Amino acid sequence: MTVLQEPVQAAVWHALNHYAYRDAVFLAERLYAEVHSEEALFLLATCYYRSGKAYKAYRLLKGHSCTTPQCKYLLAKCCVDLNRLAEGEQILTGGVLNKQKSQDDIVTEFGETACFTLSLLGQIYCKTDRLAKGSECYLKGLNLNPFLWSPFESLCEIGEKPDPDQIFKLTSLQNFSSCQPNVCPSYSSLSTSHRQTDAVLMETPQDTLELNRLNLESSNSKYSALNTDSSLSYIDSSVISPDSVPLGTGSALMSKLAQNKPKSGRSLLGGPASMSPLTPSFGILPLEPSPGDGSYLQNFTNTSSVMDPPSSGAPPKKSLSRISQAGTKSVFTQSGNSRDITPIPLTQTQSMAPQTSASPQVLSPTIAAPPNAPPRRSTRLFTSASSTAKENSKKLKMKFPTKIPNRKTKTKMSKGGITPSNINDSIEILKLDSVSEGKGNFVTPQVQAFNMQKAAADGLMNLLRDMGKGYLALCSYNCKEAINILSQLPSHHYNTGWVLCQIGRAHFELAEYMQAERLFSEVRRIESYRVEGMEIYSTSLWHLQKEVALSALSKDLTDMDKNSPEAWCVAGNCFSLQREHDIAIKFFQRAIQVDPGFAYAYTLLGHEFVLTEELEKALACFRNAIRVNPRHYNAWYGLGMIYYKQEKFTLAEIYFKKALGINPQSSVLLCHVGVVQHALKKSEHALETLNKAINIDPKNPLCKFHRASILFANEKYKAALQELEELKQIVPKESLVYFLIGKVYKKLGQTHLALMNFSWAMDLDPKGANNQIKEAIDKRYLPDDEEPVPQEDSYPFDSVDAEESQESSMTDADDTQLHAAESDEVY
Amino acid sequence: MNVIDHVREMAAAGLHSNVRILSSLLLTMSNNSPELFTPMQKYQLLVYHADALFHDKEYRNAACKFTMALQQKKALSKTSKVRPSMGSSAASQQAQSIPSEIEVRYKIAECYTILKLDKDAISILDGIPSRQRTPKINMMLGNLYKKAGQERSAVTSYKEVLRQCPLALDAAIGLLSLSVKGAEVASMTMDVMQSIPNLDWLSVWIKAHAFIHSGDNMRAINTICSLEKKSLLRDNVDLLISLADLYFRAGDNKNAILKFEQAQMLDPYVIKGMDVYGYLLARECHLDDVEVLGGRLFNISDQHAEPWVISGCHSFYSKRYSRALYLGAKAIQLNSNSVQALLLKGAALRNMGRVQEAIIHFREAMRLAPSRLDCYEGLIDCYLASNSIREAMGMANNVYKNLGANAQTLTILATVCLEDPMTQEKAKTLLDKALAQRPDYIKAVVKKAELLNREQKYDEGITLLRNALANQSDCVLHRMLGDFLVAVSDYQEAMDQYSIALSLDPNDQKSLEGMQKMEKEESPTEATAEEDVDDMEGSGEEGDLEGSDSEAAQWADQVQWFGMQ
Repeated sequence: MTVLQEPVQAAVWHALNHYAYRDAVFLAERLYAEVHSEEALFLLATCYYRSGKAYKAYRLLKGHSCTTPQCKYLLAKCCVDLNRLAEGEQILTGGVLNKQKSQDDIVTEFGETACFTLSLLGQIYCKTDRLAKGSECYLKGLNLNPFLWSPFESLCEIGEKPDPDQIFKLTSLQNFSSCQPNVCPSYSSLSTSHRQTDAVLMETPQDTLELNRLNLESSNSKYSALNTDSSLSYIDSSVISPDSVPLGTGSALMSKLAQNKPKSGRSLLGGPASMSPLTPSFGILPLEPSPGDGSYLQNFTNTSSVMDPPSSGAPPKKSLSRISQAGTKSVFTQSGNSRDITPIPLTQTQSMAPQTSASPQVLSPTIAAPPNAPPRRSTRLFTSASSTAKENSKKLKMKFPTKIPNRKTKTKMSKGGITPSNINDSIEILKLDSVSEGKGNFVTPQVQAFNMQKAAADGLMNLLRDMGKGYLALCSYNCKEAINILSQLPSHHYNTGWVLCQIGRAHFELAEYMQAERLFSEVRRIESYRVEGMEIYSTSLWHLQKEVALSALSKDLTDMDKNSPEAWCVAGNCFSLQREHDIAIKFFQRAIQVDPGFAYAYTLLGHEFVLTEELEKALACFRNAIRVNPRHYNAWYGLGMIYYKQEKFTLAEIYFKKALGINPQSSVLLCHVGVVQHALKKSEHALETLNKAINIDPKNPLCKFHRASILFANEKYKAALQELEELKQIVPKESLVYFLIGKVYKKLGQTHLALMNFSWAMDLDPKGANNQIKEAIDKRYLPDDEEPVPQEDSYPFDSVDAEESQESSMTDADDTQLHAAESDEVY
Repeated sequence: MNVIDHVREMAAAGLHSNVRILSSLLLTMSNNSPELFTPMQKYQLLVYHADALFHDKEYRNAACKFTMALQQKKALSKTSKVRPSMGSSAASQQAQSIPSEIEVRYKIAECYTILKLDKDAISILDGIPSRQRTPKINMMLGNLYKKAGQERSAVTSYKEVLRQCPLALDAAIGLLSLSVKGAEVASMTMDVMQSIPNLDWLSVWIKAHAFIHSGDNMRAINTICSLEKKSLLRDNVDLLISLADLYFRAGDNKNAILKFEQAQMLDPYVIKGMDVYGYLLARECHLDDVEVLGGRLFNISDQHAEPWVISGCHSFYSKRYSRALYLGAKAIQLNSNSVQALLLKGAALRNMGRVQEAIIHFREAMRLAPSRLDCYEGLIDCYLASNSIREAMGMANNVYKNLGANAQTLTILATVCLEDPMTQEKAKTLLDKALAQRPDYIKAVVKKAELLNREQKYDEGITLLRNALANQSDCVLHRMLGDFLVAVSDYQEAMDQYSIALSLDPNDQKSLEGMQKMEKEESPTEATAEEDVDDMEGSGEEGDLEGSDSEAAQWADQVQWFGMQ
């Protein structure tokens, strides 16, 4: 059956690799109906998942017991996609009777996929508010595979401070191998046959056990001993770890590898393909001209051939990739994996020599391989050798013939092909075929090639470190540092959408909307298809009041991708700017509908509700945003703002401080904390806080204004006046400044100056939105009314009014810079 | 071909209603003029008539007619001895065509079993000499003996079945449930196992069931898992149901639900075990799913207890106890052995305040399933509800002794100890023991936290809850943590915890209450602040701020609304 399965499987992968999902699904369905094995199940589920139907894969896998790790992983992935987190967690970690599997258990169980499994698990933990465990998982996953970026990103986002220097490095070569899927579990050219035998072992371990007992007489004792061993160790595979495999259980190791088998085929697209655009440039960066240049090129093409679909039509993809894997593998493993375990393979090959000598063809790779070949490979060969030795066993005999046609196709292909990769392959094949070929011929170029690869990976690691530092700084809101770090990236990386977006975001957080806008428009120029980060662009445009640009952006994005929350946020912002609040609310709600996990959409919706004075709904929105992402400080700020409006100052302070805890560098937040503190009659604290804010951002008019107000309220009129004079330099057209100056003069008894300032204020704000100006002027002529009111008390009233007026003036057409810098700065 | 042959043919063709009318007419004819049919023919008529009645589900009537037929046969055998001279071939032909006396007896026993007259059934079957008993008679006898508590006789009957049919697995299960050793049962099936290929899983299967019946959940689960892993038995619904049930018994509800769900997906018509599934779902507050499940099962069959139990669970968890009581009673009527139905009815009675009746139901459930913890828990709750702590304590000790000292039994005992102010310390040590065994056992954590709350050791409680929350997220735990944090006046964190709790379960009233209470504690400071504002407002905008009362009410509304989200 497995023999029949092979070509169909190959066809399915072929279709998948060419994005012909419907064909792949159809074929896989046929295959599954035919053989009903777990392997076929996994293939079918993969087809469903890749065609974007996670629910199909979920239901399919859920209806059947999943025992192999890759099935479990896929099922868990579907669960996460469908937001069934508890179930996903149960699948990944749930052992028998509430006993959770430890991370080490997961690593041993999932083997090569462990890094992905762990980051998936980390995602689940983080979404269920178990950040400590989540970050642990992420770190472990990163430790296993430093090429993963998204766990690092998530770590930064949940507020951890991972050290990029520690994470993005090839700590040990073993690491290096484990993150390259084509290294460790790849198959030597013979692997098909072992794999099949082992697949049988794997599927029916206990059957073999029974079989062994029954066939004890017929087969030789060694075989049964071996087999029992393998099947037993399969049963509790947790015992197996590659390093501690005793000699006899070579086949056990093999069976473990066999569990991971289809993954390698899959990861051809997953793992290296995502890296493929990077690899060349890193290959080139550290390149030094060396005698082995040709071999480097070979090697290079070799790696690329892994990603390239077969150019010469017919040959099934899978077998091709297997060849090229064999090529890369030998490069990687040569001096890589073997360091700590070298003695084992040597003894193994030696001890097995008499047995394997029966079939020289099979044995050949053992000899062709350098003496310190990786143990995995030699064990694999050892198994194959033993399997040929046990040809007398019926079950194995059935599988054995498949080996030969496979080899044939491969050789045929490599010879028929014209691409350089194929030439390279044929070299590999030659090497494997000929017993006589000396290893010396190959060792040198291979070592060099390995060094190349290593250097390439190191180059990538360097870049990741830098980007990691930048992103980390951005996530801890050290925006200036982030801009610094990211700007130092090499120009071809600097000029990519991701980097520019991050820098743009950093400027945005610093309230430098002009720069942010410039960067984002550059992003639009380079990658007009980029949707991520555009919501921030739109908010920058909102602040800058660029209606035209904003509506163009909104039109473009909503046309392009109707399923992204960003596009709808942009549309919402666009209408918000045009004061169509109801429509804006609708669009923000649609953004939430499209992706309920998009925190910023909730925040924007909340602000919109604030503008339409629906405070309860706004509260709920901000709460939801926090639920989705507790580090979304804008939402905390929004909550504080609402409580401040409701004059629940204690609560407001709590929430502002919470926001400040997340983004400690924000002068706007500090300023709000100061205002609240003042409202709570902690004027000293308030002044301190405001001073801090002004230290961070000396040009922030809002901070200065509030400091002046507080000074005024505390009857430090001189200081207040000085502050206001400075403020006048920064924002010369702000009516409120003149109004406050007028009040100060009034207090100082300089009625003339006061009246002058009041009238300036009136001139600047002729609509009388701040009608307390008029009142203040009127009151000027009724001085007796003012007298009984104690002077310190008059401040909160004014301050509150000022706030209110600013708030309401938000809706007015002539928003000035101060207004923009006001509350919505943290928008 | 006489009329009897016609009747026989019709009976063989399954035309029971026709047979019934015709045979009834013929029997009256025979009664009115006895010489119309021979006694043998009359016997046959009676049997066919009774059989037709049996198919019409008139069991009592059928049993009566079958007994008459037996009587007739007895008389017949006496007369037939007198006339042995009949042609032997004809006699044998006739003997073949007439229904055998043993078959008639079996039918009578079947009627009696359906009518729940077990004793009569046993006595009828006992009358058959053991050599003439067919496997089906033995099987029925075994079941009846087992039900009546005559274990030894049951064992012999089952063994007899297994001897004749080595693959009679229900008989094997019967034996195992009567605590016959697994090895002994396996030895009886050994011959078949070895002669037929691909049956090697059988011994493992028997082993698994042996573990199930000896209450060794852990090993039973492992054995079934190993069976399931084999590709040959992958996705077997019965195995999955057994596995799910085992998980449930071992207190691993998550896995249990997963397995039930899987079984249900594989075979949407499965009924067995679904009552437990429904109960679990209801307990995890997936009431919608429970409703759907109940409706679906009603479509499959309303003659089973399971659908009734499931909709009963739905009613119970939506707090309609009298409805749950009715549904539970209906389920028990359909299957008096349904543990889940008994538990449901008991719980409904208890919540309606009829504790004494509830106790009877829990006791019955306990008798049927001595290894299920929730029977004991229900009973203990009843005792606690009627303030008889001593009895509750006795029962808890009993459980603890009988089922071993695992986290669950320890927690049950501790729960009882917590009720008595004298035994607080003991409760504490018990809970510590339970938590040492299973640090994540939520019930134990909750109880411990309650204890600490009572002792006002808030910091200790906070560490306990935080540790528990490191591995799982649970609404109740988050809420309790919130309560503790309020107690140490860390309002900000408490607010976070409450909102997490609410995001896990938006309908959790207690979290909402906690949040509101916290608001009130906040309000004194606010109120003063607002007063100040009011004072200085004076000439300003009066309309905006009414006062703290309306403000608080408004806030309460908001929280309510947020909870609805």
